[in-house]
Amino acid sequence: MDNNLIEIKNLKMYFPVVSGALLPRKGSEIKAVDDVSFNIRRGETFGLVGESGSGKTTLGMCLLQLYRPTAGEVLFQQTDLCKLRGKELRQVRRHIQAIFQDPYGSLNPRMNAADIISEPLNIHHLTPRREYSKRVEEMLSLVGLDPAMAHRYPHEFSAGERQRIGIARALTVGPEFIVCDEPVSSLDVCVQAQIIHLLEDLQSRLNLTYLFIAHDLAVVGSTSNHVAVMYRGRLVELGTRDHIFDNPLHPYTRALLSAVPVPDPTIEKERQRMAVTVDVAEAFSQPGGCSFRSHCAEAADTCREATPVMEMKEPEHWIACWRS
Amino acid sequence: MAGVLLQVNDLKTHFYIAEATIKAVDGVSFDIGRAETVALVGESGSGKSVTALSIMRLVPYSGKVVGGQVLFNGEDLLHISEKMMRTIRGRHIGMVFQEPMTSLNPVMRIGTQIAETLKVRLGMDEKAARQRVIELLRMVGIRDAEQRYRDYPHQFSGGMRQRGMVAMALSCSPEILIADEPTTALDVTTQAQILDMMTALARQMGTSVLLITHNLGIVARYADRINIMYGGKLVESGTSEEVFHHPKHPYTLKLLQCVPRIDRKRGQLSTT
Repeated sequence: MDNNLIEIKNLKMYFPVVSGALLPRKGSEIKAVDDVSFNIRRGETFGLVGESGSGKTTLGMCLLQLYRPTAGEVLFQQTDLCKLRGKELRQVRRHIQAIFQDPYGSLNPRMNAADIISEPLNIHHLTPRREYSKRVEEMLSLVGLDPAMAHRYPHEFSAGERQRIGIARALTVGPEFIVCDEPVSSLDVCVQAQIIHLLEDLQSRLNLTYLFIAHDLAVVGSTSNHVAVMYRGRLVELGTRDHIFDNPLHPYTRALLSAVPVPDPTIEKERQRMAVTVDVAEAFSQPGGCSFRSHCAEAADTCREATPVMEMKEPEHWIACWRS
Repeated sequence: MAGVLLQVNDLKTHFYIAEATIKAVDGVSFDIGRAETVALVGESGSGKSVTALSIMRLVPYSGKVVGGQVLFNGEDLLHISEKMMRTIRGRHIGMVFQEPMTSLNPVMRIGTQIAETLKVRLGMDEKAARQRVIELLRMVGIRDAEQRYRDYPHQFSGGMRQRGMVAMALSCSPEILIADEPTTALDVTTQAQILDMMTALARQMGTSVLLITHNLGIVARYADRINIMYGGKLVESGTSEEVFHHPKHPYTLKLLQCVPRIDRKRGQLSTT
């Protein structure tokens, strides 16, 4: 479809496990991202949720080509980014930017806000140097900061303001697609809501497309149009926001959702909770098969034999499970 | 109330940094009844952790409890000797912190650490302590407790370490368990398991829980009563139902509107 800005096809990112200090040997591989495919439509927010270690950040890094994937394709406007190198890749990078989780770690403490925001301009040679300060002012007011703050250093800003600077830096070069990796996870709830609003507002004004990576299901549910649930390197369920949150089909998605508490004591009292039990024998059994089987109440023999593939259960709703 | 176990009256803890005085806790009063779960909720910097540390008399060097009372079974913990206080900590008031890796001794086996508490506080001998620790580890859901007894903290996963902390905090069957952001660093499924396990054990032992968190969902699920903190002061207190369904303070209202919920859709988040 024309409407897809990003198409990811059978993406794999394996990391070799190297053992031995003197004579390094390549042993097994860690399959951080294993055969993942999905599309992101122009102008939407695509949410990617998963617990720590599920591979969601690695997937984001593959999209940004900060990791070169082991196999598969990352199509941006029909161009496979995995095949690009050097100058060609740099040109595409202008259109794909990133916002990171830690607003302390992702801003250079020795650069002031103006330097941070104008650095991408310098890299991509988009604007003559004398216009930098004008562009910085524009960007600061776009993200809701006072342009007079341009000469302050990161430590002089609050966490929320720092995240705004991170957003301004991503926007200076006029990207179309932004990978937001846990953009609000380290913020207090009220600041979190402000940043989410800012991202939504910028999206509609600048026609941006987001990949929104987060571990917090509630955040993803309140920001995304489509949602993918990741577990141990694989997508287990993919659908519209309402499919995933109102009619989850995969046992893992259901367990995940039932673990999230709702801030309402009356609802909490009546909620049915799914207990996640661990089948220890299964957890240490042969590899292969469904990776969730040791935690799954519905696991059967078929789950041990083969890895489930994504199947469409209703329009725009896919799951990878043998049991449903 | 007859059932009041811990009563905090007008507690004030100040920090003296350079020339400035920071009123981290500025006149906080609340109480905890027997076998009750009370939550202390607030954003970062609201003073909730300092309140807990003040109760335990563990406020860091630059700070000082300058006023108020902490009545535990009618006795003011702020005015007893340090020696007496040491018999209260661990024995009568247990504590679980957010980051288990920094609260566990990295060069001591998990089992030995928990057994130490039992030996010192309850005067158990080596063998009895070991038996009890294995039993405790089983209770908090650690499999193969006998083998795991000999593990070091780094061999435990984050969730297991926190289970170990809960085992340690509950080892002497304290009257109160203070849990300061016990699951903030954990995944949601682990979080739910640990909180379920912790509150169930506390109920079984008749232990009251002071649950300190910024997560309103957790509060709604586990707390009987809620105290909302902002800028070192309590802005609202009440039962769960009162605070969530009829918030009176504008800050509480704002907090409730800001929280993203899994049962709310895109664009329904409010910032006003």
